Amino acid sequence: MNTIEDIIKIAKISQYLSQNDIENKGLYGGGTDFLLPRKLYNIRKSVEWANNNKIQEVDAIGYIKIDSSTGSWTSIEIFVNDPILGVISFGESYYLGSDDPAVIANTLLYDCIAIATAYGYTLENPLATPDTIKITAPAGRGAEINGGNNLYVEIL
Amino acid sequence: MALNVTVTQFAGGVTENNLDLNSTSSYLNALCGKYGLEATYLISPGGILSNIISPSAVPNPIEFLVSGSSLIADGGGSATISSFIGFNLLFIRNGISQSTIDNGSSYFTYDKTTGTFNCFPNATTDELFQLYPFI
Repeated sequence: MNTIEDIIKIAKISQYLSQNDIENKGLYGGGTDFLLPRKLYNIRKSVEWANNNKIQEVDAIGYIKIDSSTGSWTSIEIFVNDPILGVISFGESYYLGSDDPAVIANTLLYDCIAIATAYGYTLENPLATPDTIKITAPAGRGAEINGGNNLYVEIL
Repeated sequence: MALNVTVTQFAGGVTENNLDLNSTSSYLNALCGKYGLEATYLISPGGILSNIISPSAVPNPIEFLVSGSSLIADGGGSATISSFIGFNLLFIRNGISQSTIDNGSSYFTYDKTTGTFNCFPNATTDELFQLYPFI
């Protein structure tokens, strides 16, 4: 499987080879398309330009930070408004008696990671910020998932 | 509400802008047709030439009279000449070029991969040893 860079090199040489072939074949260029060298040139230049200016996709990242807890809550549920899948729930976590934000974040991560992973999202609990869940959007969402209110929680 | 949460919305996502690039480059590849086959051959590496050694990289010969402290000391018969690794070796003993064939006379063995050198019979004091590496 040739890479795009390889195809560009091949097209450059093919342009020369086809031009040379047409000129050497005499009448009607031996049946070869007279415009082939020009077609190769034009399309190769387009591919080359696009390849030089391509922008790779970067996955969006969102965060949920547990600031504080005083105990009188029942559950917390994470929702994402996915540009392709629509609104999805990663699952919910129940109050287990601890008000430690790191414990709540860790429990929430544990309860949601299976469904999130199934939808292509990555959930992490960074060591440096144990009270925070880092959510990475899957490939294909690009900039569409940025901003808005695409990430939210429901607390009961 | 007794649970306070800060939600930071998704950010940093970038949409790929070259969705047609793969298909267009595949079309270009197909358009090259039989010329592409020849061109592929031309741009492919034709193989690897390894261990090309410049003549200037050949190490200097080693010459010595056998003594108690020479490279091969009196009574000794082997040495590892690491600077000669990768090169062939011409061994001249007392002005007589030596062979690696044991025909009853003196001879030597040499492993160019490890630089291990052995001479038979063992060296004796004041013998002239000349070791010449070559490609």
